[in-house]
Amino acid sequence: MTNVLAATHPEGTVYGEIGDATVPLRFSASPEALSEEYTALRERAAVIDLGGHRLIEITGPAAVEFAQRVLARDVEYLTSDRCMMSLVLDEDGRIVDQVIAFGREDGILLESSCGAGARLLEHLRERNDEGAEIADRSEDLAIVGLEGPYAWGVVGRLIDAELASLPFESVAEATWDGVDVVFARTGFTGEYGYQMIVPRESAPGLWSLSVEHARPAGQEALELAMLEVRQPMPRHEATPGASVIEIGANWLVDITKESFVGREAVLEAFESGAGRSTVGFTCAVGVPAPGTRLMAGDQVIGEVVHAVHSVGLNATLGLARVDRDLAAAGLELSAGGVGVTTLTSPYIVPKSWSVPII
Amino acid sequence: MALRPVVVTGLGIICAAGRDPADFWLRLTSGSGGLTPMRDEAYAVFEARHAGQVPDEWITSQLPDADASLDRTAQLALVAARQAMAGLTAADPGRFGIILGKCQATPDQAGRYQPMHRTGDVVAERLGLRGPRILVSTACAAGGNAVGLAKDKILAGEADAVLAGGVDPLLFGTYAGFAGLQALSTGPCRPYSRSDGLNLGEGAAFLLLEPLDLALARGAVPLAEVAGYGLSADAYHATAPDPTGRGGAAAMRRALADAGLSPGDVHYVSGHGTGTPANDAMEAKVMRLVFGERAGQVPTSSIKSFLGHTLGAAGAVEAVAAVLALRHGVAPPTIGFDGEPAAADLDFVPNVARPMDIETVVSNNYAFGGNNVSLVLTRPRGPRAYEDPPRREAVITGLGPVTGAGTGIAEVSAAISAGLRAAGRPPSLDGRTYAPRSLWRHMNRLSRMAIAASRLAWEDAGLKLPRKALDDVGLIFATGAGSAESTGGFDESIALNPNKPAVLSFSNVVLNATGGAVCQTLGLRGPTTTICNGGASASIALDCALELISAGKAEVVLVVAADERPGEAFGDPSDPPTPYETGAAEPVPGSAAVAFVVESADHCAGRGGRAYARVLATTHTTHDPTDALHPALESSAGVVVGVGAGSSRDREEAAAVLGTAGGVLTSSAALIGDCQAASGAMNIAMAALAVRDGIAPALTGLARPVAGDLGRYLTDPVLPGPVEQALALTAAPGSVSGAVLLGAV
Repeated sequence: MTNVLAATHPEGTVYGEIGDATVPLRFSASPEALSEEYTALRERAAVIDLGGHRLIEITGPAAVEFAQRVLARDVEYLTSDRCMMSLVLDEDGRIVDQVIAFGREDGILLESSCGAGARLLEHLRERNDEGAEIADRSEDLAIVGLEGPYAWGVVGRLIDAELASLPFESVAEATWDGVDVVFARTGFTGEYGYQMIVPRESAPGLWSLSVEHARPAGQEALELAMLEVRQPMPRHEATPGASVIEIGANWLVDITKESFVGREAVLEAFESGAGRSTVGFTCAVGVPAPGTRLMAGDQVIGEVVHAVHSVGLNATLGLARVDRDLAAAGLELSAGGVGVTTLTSPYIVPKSWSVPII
Repeated sequence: MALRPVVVTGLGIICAAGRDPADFWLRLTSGSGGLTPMRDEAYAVFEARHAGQVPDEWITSQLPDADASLDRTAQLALVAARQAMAGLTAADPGRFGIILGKCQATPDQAGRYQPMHRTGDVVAERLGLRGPRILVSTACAAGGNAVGLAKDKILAGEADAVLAGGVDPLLFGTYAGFAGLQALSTGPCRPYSRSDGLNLGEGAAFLLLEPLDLALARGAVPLAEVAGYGLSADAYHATAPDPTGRGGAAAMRRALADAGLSPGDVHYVSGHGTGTPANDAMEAKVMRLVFGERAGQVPTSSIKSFLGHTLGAAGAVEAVAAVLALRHGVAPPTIGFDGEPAAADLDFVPNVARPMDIETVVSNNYAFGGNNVSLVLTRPRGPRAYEDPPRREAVITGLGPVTGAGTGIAEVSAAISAGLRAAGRPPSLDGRTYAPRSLWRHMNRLSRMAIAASRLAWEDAGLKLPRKALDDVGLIFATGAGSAESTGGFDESIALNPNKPAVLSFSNVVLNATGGAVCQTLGLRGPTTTICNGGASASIALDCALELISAGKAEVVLVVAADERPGEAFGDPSDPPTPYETGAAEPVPGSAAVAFVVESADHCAGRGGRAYARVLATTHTTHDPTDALHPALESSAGVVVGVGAGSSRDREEAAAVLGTAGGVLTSSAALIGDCQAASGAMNIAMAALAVRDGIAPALTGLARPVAGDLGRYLTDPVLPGPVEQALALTAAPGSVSGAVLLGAV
């Protein structure tokens, strides 16, 4: 998928391939880039290029019925002023993607996670028994995100201050520069978060204005901040064979819904009580690779799923999948010969939690 | 087009900041507050002790001995009501009404809960008011709401004078509930500055409303004009205000539009100003949304800093203050203002009253359930020509019964045709969903029934409206007693430990909570109110819907009535009583919610909707229906759906109906039981069904009717021929009875 904002981004922007998308990882080649972008996100406000998130529209008379079956959460009465995050599972209960579902007047709009859109689209089309109309709207729409403790102030300067205090997961129709904007209060990082869905041709203009009020932050800073508040990231966490319960994404599934694709598998995993659990950890040196064994003394109790260097902690921060009864905070373990300590989430307390919108 | 000007000609108030209007105004302008530590030792269990208490002597010194045995709520109300009426020497009792706002179900002298409408009945009886009588319970917005509804009653030509106001006493349970929500300030509250919580208060306030022409004709001095009012629903949360301020702004904009004014005309805003952080922050947003760049030039203050939050009385108390502010050209201050303002760009009139030119005041109130009200009061102008309000034809386009006899009109129609008698059977909500599961989980039974009924009525009407149109859809909720489940659960928790109240139940104890839940679930943000006149609530609610449609304030209004059987779980009586049968056993109480969609005939035609019936007329009387007949009874209705539930009152009703109206008499009581407000709504729904589909619940098994011949009763569900008109009756025994005449489309 071509990045609509690429021409707008500064020289030196470092891109990476994530799934089917090419996205900015950092907006400068400077060694301080990640740290500066992260700091902007956690301390002030960051603007995020969400071009790697594909928009898939489901419409037609069968739209809600179909969406209700393929999404793991309840979207039957998702009105056009609400959005919600949900998992999309396959029949075996494996995570296909984690989406934001926006209620629309004539159906539902799904936003994929970064780089997972093509696979999601294929998954949906294969299961479209209801005959819903499924369209890839990324050909004509783009998403710009804002995250940060003062992101609400940027909203006022960009569009309308009234939008800033929208309740979480609320959606409003707005206009910017004469074009319609689907404006949503969302948030991936525990900070105030907003998304603006605009016509593709308007995205560069909105981005250019946004960067006058907020610093751009790339995928690395975004994912680090997500990890710090334990926001699930399927591309790192959905390891082969791991169930929703092992991943700790139960809250993105609603088993009180009578039926949806993958429900039986989730129930089975839940009832069996088998499998591991995911827990955060930190260590002073090194960043253990995924798959590194986690040891309690000389006993293998699990393995590292994902780890990075956290700017906020100034230490390594990672997720490990361990035996269920050892998924607790404060345990002294080792990974690859280095001592690690398990943590309770969130690993960083977002500043937004103590900054009111005024 | 100019409508008949409605003015305030009398004021009455009793609260912690004054025993009467003169005393009240002196204290407001001298900054002398009345918040004190609670005298009652029972409140020592709470950390927060300050409240706005009315000294007993203020009450007793203003009451005749005959009122000494009344409960405190009625006493407070009577003191304020008599003050407001003081200048009125002669009035036609039949055209003199009372609209009372009240938040809490209040106890009688013995400490037992009374029906919500009881206080209004007592005041009306003692003062001889026999005109329109409404109990409005939109929690903390009720007092302001009552003033608006009173204006509607005068414009509709139903009354020449209306006492409009509110009352609430300090109740231990309510105090515990607010303490449990961490909403109380530990000292005197400091709205718009510290904003560290509210104080509760008690009191009553009334405004006497009259049409300007009649007021001048009797030589009264108009104190202010009630230029307009606006209602809105947040559709956001049970207790917290919508943080964007959209709901409050919508109410204020609607009120200004109703008054034919613009934000630029407003000189002073009497704020809700409870002193909680959520309220005060939201109000600042409302000011900025409505007034834009001018927000800082419009002083806004909160007199709750003087007397605490008097809940259902607050809107009326503040309306009295607003009238006095207009009269005297002084904005009362926000006292206790301390430190940084909640919003540096706004003018909260800190601590000192401010003389200023005031032509127009807006008084705002925001309530649990996301109910908002704004009143626009202006300096009175001279007499002028006016026109009658337009009559716009309204139709009923969707029915949503949730009853023991069936869920949805298809099931209920089948039950009627089969002659089912399901009185006392609980409604079933199994088999489908009516709301997002995330909301449904937290709903009590009453809200679930009401949401299901609303959803079913909406679907039955075939309405498909875009989000923007839902912002103007009205919702009128009618209930006799609100949620018995939540009230019972909350009271039990307080009895166990007042410091551990069941806070989720507390938020559902307010009568309008269910109406708010319906708005939230269906996303309705139009005008909303809650009517609590027992079994007559639904027909009064229909009146409110018709007034909204006639005034062009809404094209679509959902009316939903719900009540539940108090006490233990349901039995399933195998042989429910047959209404109007001689010697019938006692009525079977039941639980039900019944919703119907009221739409302007134009709107229905425009979308190609299929209406059940036209609404031809509604009337209410506070006389006993047997000694003064409803004008509507003298119609040529083919079928009358009466109140008859198998009680001793059946005979009087049947005799009155059969002696006056044509057609056959029946009732919904054997089908669904006696479900208070929901039974009234069911009667209206059944009349609509009879007109369009030619069926009505039959009195299966009726053999020896209490009055008249058996042939005058409906004993077969299939009506003999097309029904051109059908009449539905409602009643709150001993208080108000109503009649709704429907006609074929």
